Amino acid sequence: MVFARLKTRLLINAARRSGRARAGLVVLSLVVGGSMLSFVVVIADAARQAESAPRFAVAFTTMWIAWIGLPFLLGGIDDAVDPDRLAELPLRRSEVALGTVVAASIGVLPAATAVGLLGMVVTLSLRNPRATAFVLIVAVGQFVLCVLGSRLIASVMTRASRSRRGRDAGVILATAVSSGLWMAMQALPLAGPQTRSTIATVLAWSPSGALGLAAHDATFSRFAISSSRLVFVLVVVSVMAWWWTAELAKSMGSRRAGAMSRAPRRSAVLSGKSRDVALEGTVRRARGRINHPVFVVVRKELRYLLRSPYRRASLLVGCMFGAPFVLLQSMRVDPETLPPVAVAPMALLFGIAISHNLLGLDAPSLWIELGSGIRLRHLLLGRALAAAPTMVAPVWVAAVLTVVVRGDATALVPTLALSVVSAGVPLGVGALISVLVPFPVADDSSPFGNQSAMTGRGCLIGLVHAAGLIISAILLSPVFAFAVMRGSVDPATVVGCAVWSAVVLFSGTWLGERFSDRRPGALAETILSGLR
Amino acid sequence: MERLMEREMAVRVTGLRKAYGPRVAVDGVDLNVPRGSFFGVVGPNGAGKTTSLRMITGLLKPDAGTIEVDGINVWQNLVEAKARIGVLPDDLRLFERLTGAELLYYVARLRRLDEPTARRRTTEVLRAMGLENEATQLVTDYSQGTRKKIALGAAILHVPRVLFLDEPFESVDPVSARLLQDVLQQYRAAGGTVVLSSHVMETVERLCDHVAIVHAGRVVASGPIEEVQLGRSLEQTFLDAVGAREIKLEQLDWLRTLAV
Repeated sequence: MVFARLKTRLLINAARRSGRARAGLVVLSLVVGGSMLSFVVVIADAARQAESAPRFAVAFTTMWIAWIGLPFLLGGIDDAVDPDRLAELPLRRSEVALGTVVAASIGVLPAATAVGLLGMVVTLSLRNPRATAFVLIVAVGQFVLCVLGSRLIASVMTRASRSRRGRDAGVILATAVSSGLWMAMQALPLAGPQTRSTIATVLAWSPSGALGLAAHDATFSRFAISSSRLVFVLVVVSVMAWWWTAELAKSMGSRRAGAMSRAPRRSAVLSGKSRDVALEGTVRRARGRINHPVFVVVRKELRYLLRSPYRRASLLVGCMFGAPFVLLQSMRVDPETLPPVAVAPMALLFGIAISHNLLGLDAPSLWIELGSGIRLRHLLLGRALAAAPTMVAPVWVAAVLTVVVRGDATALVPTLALSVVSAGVPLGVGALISVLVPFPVADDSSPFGNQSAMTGRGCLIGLVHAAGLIISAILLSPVFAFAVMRGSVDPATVVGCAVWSAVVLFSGTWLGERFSDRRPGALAETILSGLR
Repeated sequence: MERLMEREMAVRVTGLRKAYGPRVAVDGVDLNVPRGSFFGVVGPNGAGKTTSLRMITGLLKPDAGTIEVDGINVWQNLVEAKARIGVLPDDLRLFERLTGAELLYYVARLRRLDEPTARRRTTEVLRAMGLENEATQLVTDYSQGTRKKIALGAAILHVPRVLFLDEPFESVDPVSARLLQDVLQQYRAAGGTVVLSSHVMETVERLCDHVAIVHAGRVVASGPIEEVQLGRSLEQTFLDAVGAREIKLEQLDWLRTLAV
């Protein structure tokens, strides 16, 4: 009960804090409310046909993935009642486990999930009243599965995030599983009845897929099969609960012993320097070699690209999601009209987030740069140039994978070149957005846990990304129109795109500086206070 | 003898060790903290003070060694041990989106105090710490000094037997520091034991009756402060124990270009 009240109080206080938080909450409510309505509509429609088992399995799995997979792209899993903050209290492992599950069950997403599942129970019970008890158990099971799954992932990933290799392995594993399931669902509309049946068979071995199929079986009065699926889910949930409580015990006895013991800072420790001193040294040395602040910032940022947990995770997630997405889209392309690899730039979608938050990333050390007297447009330009690899890498990985799978390398080089030169457009747009709506990210925090979850922050970030993407697409459209008119990606197109990108990039950084000048001091304060 | 030692010592640590890969952070620390004492742990940066305190307070599992707090083996009876201690860690991970009053109340409730007691002690702690005006502000908006005060309040709500404080006076203004010291003196006068780590030698010298100097993961001197000092100042004792490093003339010679 104390945990429930604590979580409720945290949510109320977050909403009271600012207008942005309230707006975020409204957006979050609309997004998850709409998603759950879609879930009920899909289930209600599928319940009319006996052969609709794959749709049940996919709908349930989508909901589960949305709980545990989407937070990777939108700021981390709900960790408002972080067990790490309870480590000093005399609480038993079971109390912490139960309390954090209760806390995780409170918020806009859990409430919408509960309403969506209740809608499913009503819909399926009206269709077959004898299935009510089964469907109710399915609904409770799905809710527990979502909450427990997200808690397990948060605990495992947060513990893994204490070493660089563990974090990378965790990101790759979680993203591979999420993207694999996501791709399976993307492939569903393209598949024939036989393939759909195969997908349902595969998903039946995932706990959420099994729950979906249990609901389907119960709706069509196959209660014995439904029961066996529920027993399977019960076993899986028990294993997950045991695993999670074991992880909880480990994480509560392994609180970081001072910032210096963490792996990402080990190199600084071994050289006897603090992070900031090491950073200042880097800036000083770089200034001696290339005496322009933009290049100093680029050099520093490229180091952070490999060392900052958030950026490494972004890079890996972008590549892991982008490549299979592009590969799937290339299947829809007719090779006679367009080389399959030409769709690779769509993977920019998965790396673009980094360009919209150039100042919010690595925010704790931003004071060194802002305090050094560097012009903001130089800072923005340096950070934009250094962010380019994170944006372009998913395109290159996707392009190479597409060529390997589809066996057509004719447009590979122009595609790679075009992805590099066109990156300036989203980076220019991102430079302006970074000044207008910075989202501070502490570079030493876990990229998987989010103390501000359920406050709509992730949805606001999503909206900002969507707006940036639309503006970038509009600004890039002349380039692609030019390429289409010429019928190929030739050197003239690449050069034209490079010039246009440079114009947008310099304009974006210039405008960013101008907007910042209108509210002196506010930018740094906004960014640094957002970290607390 | 062993029983007598057990009764007299609030904290007993033997052979404590912790390593992170090849780097040994704590290398066989032994500590005996007498009951009712004000015990200071001093040492240079990276000496292993924080790591040792976290292992002693049940926040970090040691690789080896035994820890007893108030006669309880910490890592065998973690919940019971935590009920007897209060901790003010250096990184202050608090629930940022609670107000000061809410934070104290929920910590009290999670420490199993009943509702009226939790509310009464919350009010009293806020008043004692001079935080009545900040009670309704979110913790995220507090200054560093106010955060320390509210965290100390949260650490003493349940009347612990032993209080562990990691750098309690860092970033705290002199007025707030004096207030914190008064609270600690009152707690100690009631029979509580205080273990604090600090870099500020004057504070340790003034407040503590026992001291341990930690260097490179080991205790190099420990005991009643007069016995450790041997007539010297604590700062000199500390420098003698850990070895002072002086800057050479040719180092940072570019700093002298200011005069040009």
